[in-house]
Amino acid sequence: MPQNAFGDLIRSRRAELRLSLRTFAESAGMDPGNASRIERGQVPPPEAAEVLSRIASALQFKKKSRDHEHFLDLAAAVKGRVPQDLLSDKEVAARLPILFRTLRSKPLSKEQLEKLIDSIRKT
Amino acid sequence: MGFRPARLSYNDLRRIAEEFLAEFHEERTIPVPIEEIVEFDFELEVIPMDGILDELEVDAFLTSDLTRIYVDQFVMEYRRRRFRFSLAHEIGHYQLHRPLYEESRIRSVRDWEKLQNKITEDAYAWFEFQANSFAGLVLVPSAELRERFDAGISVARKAGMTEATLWSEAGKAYLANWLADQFDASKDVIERRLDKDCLWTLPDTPS
Repeated sequence: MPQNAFGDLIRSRRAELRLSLRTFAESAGMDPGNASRIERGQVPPPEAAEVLSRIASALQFKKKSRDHEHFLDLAAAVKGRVPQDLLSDKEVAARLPILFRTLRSKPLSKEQLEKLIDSIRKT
Repeated sequence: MGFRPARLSYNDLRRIAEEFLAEFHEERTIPVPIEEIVEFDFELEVIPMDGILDELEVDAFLTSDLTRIYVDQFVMEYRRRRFRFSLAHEIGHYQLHRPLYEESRIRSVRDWEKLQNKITEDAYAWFEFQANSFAGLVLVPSAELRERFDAGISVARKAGMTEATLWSEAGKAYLANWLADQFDASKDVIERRLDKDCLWTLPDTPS
């Protein structure tokens, strides 16, 4: 089973429904940051049945359907897997912006760049 | 050598925005589903990031490998119109400035720093003007703006607004707010678009 099978399922189902991350998170009652981390496999699937049920409902999986069962099976199977390692320098570089200006049209200071790199690693 | 964007006029950008809509949103419904276009047509990952607006004064950015848009989580959750504009702005960079991204070949933070030194302030001003204009033109397309503008005038008249008020700054604010709801864009974006499309030309009559 792929490392992030649960997140991949959410992502592909959202694509099928053309359900944006923001709308999905809203209807599942989660904050979008958490929804994104679950989808990217940065955190394990939620354990609470009630949360899983809200996610399944936002993804329009009918209760007791095969898709719903598959969704719950994957959540259980992936639970407890260790998230991926921290990003390498090359991966961080790929995630840096090219055209990037602060609201006051200033380039980033050294300190801000370090904060940005730190945020990219953590996110 | 420094990086420079092609010099595009507002009308050039209008044409590019229309081509974009023809390709990715031929239904032409309003509000334009920019989130869905970004995530499912461009297959860009939208990643909420905590605190970038507070700490870095940035709403969103497109990554150098053209695969993700990071966006301030607060903006995404609580400032939907600003979030939509940010996505349209970043997709503007994707559409208009892709060669810069593809040629930059960033493999380290040092590469990134070198590249930043090659982009002059003048070039930056053009990059940003183009992405902002593109975003406004995609979220508030010309034909739909004209049509809704006329509808908004009718609504204002039916609501009892006098001609004198309608064509005053107060009338403009009323109409811009009404249009902002229609297009799910901010009042500022609507006002800029009204000005650019010369829709807000005062008639001779009222004084």
